[in-house]
Amino acid sequence: MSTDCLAFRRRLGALLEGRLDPPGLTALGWHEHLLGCGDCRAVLEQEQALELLLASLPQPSLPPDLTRRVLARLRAPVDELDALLDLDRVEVPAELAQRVREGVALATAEERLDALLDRLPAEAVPPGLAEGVLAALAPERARGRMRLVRGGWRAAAAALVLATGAAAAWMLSRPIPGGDEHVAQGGGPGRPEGPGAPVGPGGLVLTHDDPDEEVIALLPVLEYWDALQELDPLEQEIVTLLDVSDEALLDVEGS
Amino acid sequence: MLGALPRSVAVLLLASSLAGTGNDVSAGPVAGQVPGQGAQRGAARRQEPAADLGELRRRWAGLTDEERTRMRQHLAELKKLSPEERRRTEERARRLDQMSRQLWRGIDPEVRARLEKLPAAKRRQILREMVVAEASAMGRRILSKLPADERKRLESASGEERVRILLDLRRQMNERIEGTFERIAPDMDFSPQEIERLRQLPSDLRREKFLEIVKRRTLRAVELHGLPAGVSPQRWRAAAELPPDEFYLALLRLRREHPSFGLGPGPGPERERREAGALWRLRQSLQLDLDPQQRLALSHLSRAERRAEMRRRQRRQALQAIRSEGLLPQAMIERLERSPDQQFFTVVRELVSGRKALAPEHPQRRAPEGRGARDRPPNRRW
Repeated sequence: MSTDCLAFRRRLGALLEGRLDPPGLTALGWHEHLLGCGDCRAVLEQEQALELLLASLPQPSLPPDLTRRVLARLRAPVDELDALLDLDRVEVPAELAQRVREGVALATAEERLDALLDRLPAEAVPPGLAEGVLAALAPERARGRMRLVRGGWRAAAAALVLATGAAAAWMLSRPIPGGDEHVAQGGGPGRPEGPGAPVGPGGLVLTHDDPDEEVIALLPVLEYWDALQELDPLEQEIVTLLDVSDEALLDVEGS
Repeated sequence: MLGALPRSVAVLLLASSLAGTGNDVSAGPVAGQVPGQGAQRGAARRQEPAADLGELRRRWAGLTDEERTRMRQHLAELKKLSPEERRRTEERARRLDQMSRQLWRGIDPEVRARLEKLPAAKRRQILREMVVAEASAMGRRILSKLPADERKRLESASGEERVRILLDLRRQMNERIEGTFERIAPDMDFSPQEIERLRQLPSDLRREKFLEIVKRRTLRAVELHGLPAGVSPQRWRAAAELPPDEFYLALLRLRREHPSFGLGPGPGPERERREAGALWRLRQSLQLDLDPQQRLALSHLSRAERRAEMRRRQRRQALQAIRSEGLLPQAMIERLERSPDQQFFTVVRELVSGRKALAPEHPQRRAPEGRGARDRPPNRRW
């Protein structure tokens, strides 16, 4: 790599870190070094493609009424298991899988881009690079003058956004794994009661509608409170720490 | 750019999670497992779906006022525990809750129908009592099947030490399952490649497969040799439809009720005489509380009365067995008769497990130490 290449790429790096003016990336396209250097031209092109993709991604967001729908389902008296199970069904557009596949295919075709990126100066990626790039591109995004270099990226970007939304919706609707989180620090997306909304065992989101909500959430434990007192501590530990496969194994070994 | 992660990889990761490739066998049984200690065990214990709030609300709505008051009191007690004690208590209670659902599924349909006719609160109470009895019996059974030195270590260990020993035991079991595959392979016509594949499975899956194999082996043995006397084909079919872990529990119940079940080929009458002998009846007396029929027959009593009556019946039956076969010298029988429940049942359990010597003249007298092999008839076929 020539001294000119290094200088050009330092300038590019500085630009991406936000040390230059936002329109600088476009201006860099007129850099005289590019006239005689195909490698750096390719790097700049791929970089522009990447930044355009980043800039074109909307902020992932959940459907506006998802929280309300989840809460409504949880609060409603449910007679059928199916109705509850419906909660797990995230509405995924029918053609999503196909679009994701197309996006992946395009991304695979763009491996050259990754390879080129890998050949960029080996210095650590400056902190805040992505934010800087987005900030730099914000004016263009606002003016709506940006367009994707390759149409294929659009599909990939759409798929990415949909996938993120779907994953977020799925995470919201599934139980939070156990642990000692009976009073969780709420306030995240979909937490209905704001900060401090209690989360019961298995991630059940409690409301304050019923003063017995906490008792209800812990019923499987409380119903066996008396029963536990009747068991010998050693028996309790054995039953909790071992299971039927251990017993079957001892049986088979002993036979 | 964007750190070290190429975008194509990120997209691929998302795509594969959405496409639901899900071919990774190790992903299945661990999913949804309780984190912490629970993750180290319990794979063969199928994950019961956690009750959701709707189901819990329905359960709550079905409780009587008295039950609700008690639940509120228990919550207050639970809150007084340290975080660690609370975690353990919840884990144990949830295990019992899980056992109750398994018990309900495995219960004889006729008994279940009778239970369903009871008032809801009574039914719940009876079911809880049955679960406690089952859990206690399971603990004792596993203890009795352990080598004598392990059992002694466990019995004399403090709380923390006990947990450590049991977790270590669990780890050893993981390793021992591999050897067991090889040992039972000839019965199952497994090829060396199949055995190797089983051995390579993650330990959780290996345990599941092990229980599956135990079930297949048992079903095959029954096909070959027929059902033992007393077991109805209908009951056997119901058991055969259970998943492997519950099938194994059903098998234990059948063995309990039908002493000839699970015995290998041999001179039937002699073996049956032995099994029908005093020790078997003594064991039966201890297992009286596992019999849903017995508990149902006492369902009109309060919990305390039922418990006391069950104890009385167990004592009576045990004493009959000891007397009829002269398992203990007369003087000891008289002392035993006067002893309080706890002492009485400790002696009876020791007799059954072989840790207490029988009367000198008794033909089944044997060394006091052992693995409790008396609990287990020889030549078990399945």
